[in-house]
Amino acid sequence: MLELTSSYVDSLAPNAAAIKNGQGLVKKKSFVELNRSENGELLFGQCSGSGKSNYVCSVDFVVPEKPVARCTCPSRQFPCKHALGLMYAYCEGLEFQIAPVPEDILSKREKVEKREETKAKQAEEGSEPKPKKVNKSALKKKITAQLEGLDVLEKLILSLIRGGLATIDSKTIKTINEHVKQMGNYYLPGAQNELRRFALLLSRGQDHEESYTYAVEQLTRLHAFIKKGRTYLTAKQEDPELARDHESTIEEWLGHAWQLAELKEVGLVTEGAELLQLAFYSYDDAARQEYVDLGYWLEQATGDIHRTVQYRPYKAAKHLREDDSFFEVAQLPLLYRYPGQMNVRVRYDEMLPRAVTGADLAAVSANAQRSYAEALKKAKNELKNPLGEKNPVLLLHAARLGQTEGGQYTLTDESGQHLVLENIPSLPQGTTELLPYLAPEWQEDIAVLVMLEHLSDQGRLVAQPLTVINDAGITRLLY
Amino acid sequence: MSTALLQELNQELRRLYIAGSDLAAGDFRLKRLLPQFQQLGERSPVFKRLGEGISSLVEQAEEQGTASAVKLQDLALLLGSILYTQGSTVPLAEPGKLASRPILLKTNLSYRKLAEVQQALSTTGSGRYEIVKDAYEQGVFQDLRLLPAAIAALRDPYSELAEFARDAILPAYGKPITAFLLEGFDPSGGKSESRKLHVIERVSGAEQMDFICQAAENGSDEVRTTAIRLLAGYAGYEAALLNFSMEKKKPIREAAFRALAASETVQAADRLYEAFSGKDIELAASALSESERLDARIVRDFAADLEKTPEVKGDKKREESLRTRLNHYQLAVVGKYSEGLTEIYSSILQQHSLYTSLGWIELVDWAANYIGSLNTLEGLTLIQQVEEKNHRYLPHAFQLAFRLWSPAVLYEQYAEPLANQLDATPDKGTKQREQKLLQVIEDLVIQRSYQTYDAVWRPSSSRYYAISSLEPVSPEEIADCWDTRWLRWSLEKNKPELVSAFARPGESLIQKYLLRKLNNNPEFRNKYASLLLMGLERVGAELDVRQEALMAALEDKRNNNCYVLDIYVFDLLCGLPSSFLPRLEAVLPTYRYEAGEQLSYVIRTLSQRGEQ
Repeated sequence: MLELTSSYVDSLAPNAAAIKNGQGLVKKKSFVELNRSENGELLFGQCSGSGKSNYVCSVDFVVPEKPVARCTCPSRQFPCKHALGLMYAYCEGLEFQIAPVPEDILSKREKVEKREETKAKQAEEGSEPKPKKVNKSALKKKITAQLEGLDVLEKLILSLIRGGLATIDSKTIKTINEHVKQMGNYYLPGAQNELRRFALLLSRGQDHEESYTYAVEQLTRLHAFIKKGRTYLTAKQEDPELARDHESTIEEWLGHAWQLAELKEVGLVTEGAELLQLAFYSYDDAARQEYVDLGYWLEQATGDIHRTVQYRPYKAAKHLREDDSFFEVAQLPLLYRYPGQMNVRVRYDEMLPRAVTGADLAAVSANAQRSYAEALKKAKNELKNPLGEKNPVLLLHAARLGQTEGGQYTLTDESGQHLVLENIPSLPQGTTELLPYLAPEWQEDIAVLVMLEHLSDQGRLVAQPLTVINDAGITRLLY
Repeated sequence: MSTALLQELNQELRRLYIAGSDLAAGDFRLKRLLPQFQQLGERSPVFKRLGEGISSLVEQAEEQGTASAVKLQDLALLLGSILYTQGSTVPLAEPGKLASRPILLKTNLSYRKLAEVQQALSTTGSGRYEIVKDAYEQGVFQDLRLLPAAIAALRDPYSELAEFARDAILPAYGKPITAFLLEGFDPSGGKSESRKLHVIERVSGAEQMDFICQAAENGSDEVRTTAIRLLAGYAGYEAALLNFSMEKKKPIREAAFRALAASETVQAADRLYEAFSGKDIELAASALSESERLDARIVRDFAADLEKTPEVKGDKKREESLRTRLNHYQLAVVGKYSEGLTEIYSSILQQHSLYTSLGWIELVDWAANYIGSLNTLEGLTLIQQVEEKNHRYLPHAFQLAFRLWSPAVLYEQYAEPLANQLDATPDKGTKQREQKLLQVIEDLVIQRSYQTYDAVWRPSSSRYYAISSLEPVSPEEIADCWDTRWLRWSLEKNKPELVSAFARPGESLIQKYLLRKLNNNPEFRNKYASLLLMGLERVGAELDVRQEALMAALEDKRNNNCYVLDIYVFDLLCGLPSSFLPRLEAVLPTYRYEAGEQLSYVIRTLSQRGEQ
């Protein structure tokens, strides 16, 4: 018998509105027929909609970790509200008549099976899909264009610096924005984003003093990017294999979108990994013109804090699934890692959830770093790299939470070293104001996930607490 | 490492970025920093490199093209990297224990659920109230992370949202919420602070009364008046209330009077009576209207003052002051009933000519309303006596008679004498009387309503739509409460809306009359056309007759600026057979706005039905 919880159905939904609409269909009794197959693997039914005929929808659990939703409605959201509604109806215990599996579902299942079979056969025969052939002359041309683009970018940047930020007016911003467009032609989407970020900082107006500080930082970052990018591209141009650098993040900065197959090829995969999400949030990145969903996860075997990133371009945001907080342990047959040093980006395409156990919580605590001196040294190393992660996330063990008379919150390690906790500008939501609400057992001998930020105008490195973990559970302060 | 020196260099470089790197050559402030870097550079390679960077920046010859910019960038990049390793993590003072106020709430909701509510409570714009209300109903506010947002909602610029937080969201946390409200309480604040007091009183009651009393003494007027009102009913604070009732500020006194009105003690009653006898009469009167404490005394004084009327007549000044006083008595006893009051109001009706001559018509109105609501035959006789002199009271008398008399008597007493008079010599007064009668009958048989409908013609996001409409009371009620002769009477008076209401099956004459009226007045813009259609249904006209009448009205050229069709009309349209489709499609272009949407919907449904 199929077991479904509404929170699991929630997690399948592409966005919050779909959840509401799906539940709404059940509430309004729009389903005119609710059926399930004899063995319970298939839910199907009919739902009345605005059209004259009913929508026929089904959810197939024949492969439990990959439920397949099908519907005759024209929605581009997937699963659509009808399929979600069907599952909510099941969760709520509505009566589902037992009926034979419809013809078309059977034939669709068959097709999937066949596809799997051929895949398995191929794997058996060892005939892995052949690596894609790289068109070397085209790649060379692309590199030449990228180098040319870096020159154009540098020329613009240097002329801006010679004239001074104070002389930048709306006309200059227009020129910068024209360059933003050009960067696309030079195959430099990474440069495009960073230059747009610079233009946004200056066109935001109002508080010039603050935006100048960020603008100067952005200029030096662009400088470092141009220098490193040029060195890397020149070297790559001369390399007969034209291989990508899979250790640093430079390829991503230049705008390369790594494909899972490429990551696998260079060995950036782990088999049978288990991840536990410790924090999640979402923000609007105006420079990328995308919404970004960020999850921070602990890989239990290595103790690394990884990052899942989902970009949802403004133009396609309506049709993409919004990521959400994930409360179970993700068991992954294959975990793909992106190049990088700290909080590397990871991806997976198959996942089976399982409930969090006491052992998982103990593992969190065991993986928390106990010496702040060491942890911060590593973090600062990352921070000082101009193209490195500016908001490293660490899992720290805290002997206790504290507060100074002036009201500053602190984290203290076993050797007595303190770390100041503060809300950082990079996060959309404050969390420190929640600290006093924590019960005493959440204030001592705990693991805390923090995000760091260097406040350059004050010369201070501060941390915002994201999540507190003890043996009893996980208290998410952010999301 | 000298962080201060590095920070100083950072500031100088920032200055050059803003002013332009072309000005770097020979910059004296950088030059001044150079020796220190060179000195430190003898021991530390990092400072040496910085020193070299500075000197190459300041010592370059002018007009070197982009070199200055490149040098500035290189130096800033190096300095930036160094500074990133120097970030201080030390707190300003040695930390102590965390001042904690634990609250037992969970943190198990996902981003998508929380962020929506947080956004609704931190922005402005439409649709926020529904989000917050839904969230509250689903228990989303029991997540710890929404607590700060819930408290902040008391400050929301949309007052309904702030009041929802005050009345529902925050009280749901129970007593523990008090500590959080007390912590951020600002007695000099405005509405948001007064809402906090409401919540505190509601969840903690007597425990926090000392605090509320303090707020009543020291705070902004807004906070004080709220706090004073909240002290009502807490015996221990009556002395304070008595003091507040003496204050100079009017809003404070007003609040104190209202709070005292809830008290049971002699002192409170005496103080209110004192106020009612003095210059605070207005404040005291409105406070007393919510309490029964002083009713006996008030009624006694009311009667006594009323008797003074003949005395003061002619003295304008005394007339005016007595009239004001009588008005305040009225305010204090509004909505209350007692024998004393019945006597007072009866005597006013008996002497109505006295009061009318003084121009105190509102006094007679109150009396007529009060006596009318008693539903007694004596009362009816009294009002009828007044009515004979003044048509203004015909509605009062008629409505009361409608409740007390049988339908036949009512008809005979009101319709027949009027008809006789009209037949004889219709003077101006009789005409006016007739108008009044028609109006009061219409008020009784036709209900006006403003209702929200599930507007199926709209997209699902904005389905609920409020429409005002006219509807006759049910045919059963007409049959029970009204004499059958009223139908003829309405027809003679040529009142189609009354005819529609009184219509009953089997009157072919009436059907013809209504059809003719609809033909003359087909505009759906005013509600009478739909009333006529309802009348046709009452008279038992065949469905096809009514459908044809409806269609003809729709097609009439005068129907060119209808905004929305009545739900009755809309339902009738939905029931049309699909043979009407071509005619509907032909008229569609003349209908815009909601009516256009409604018609399109009808056409869509009809055509779908046609295909099946």
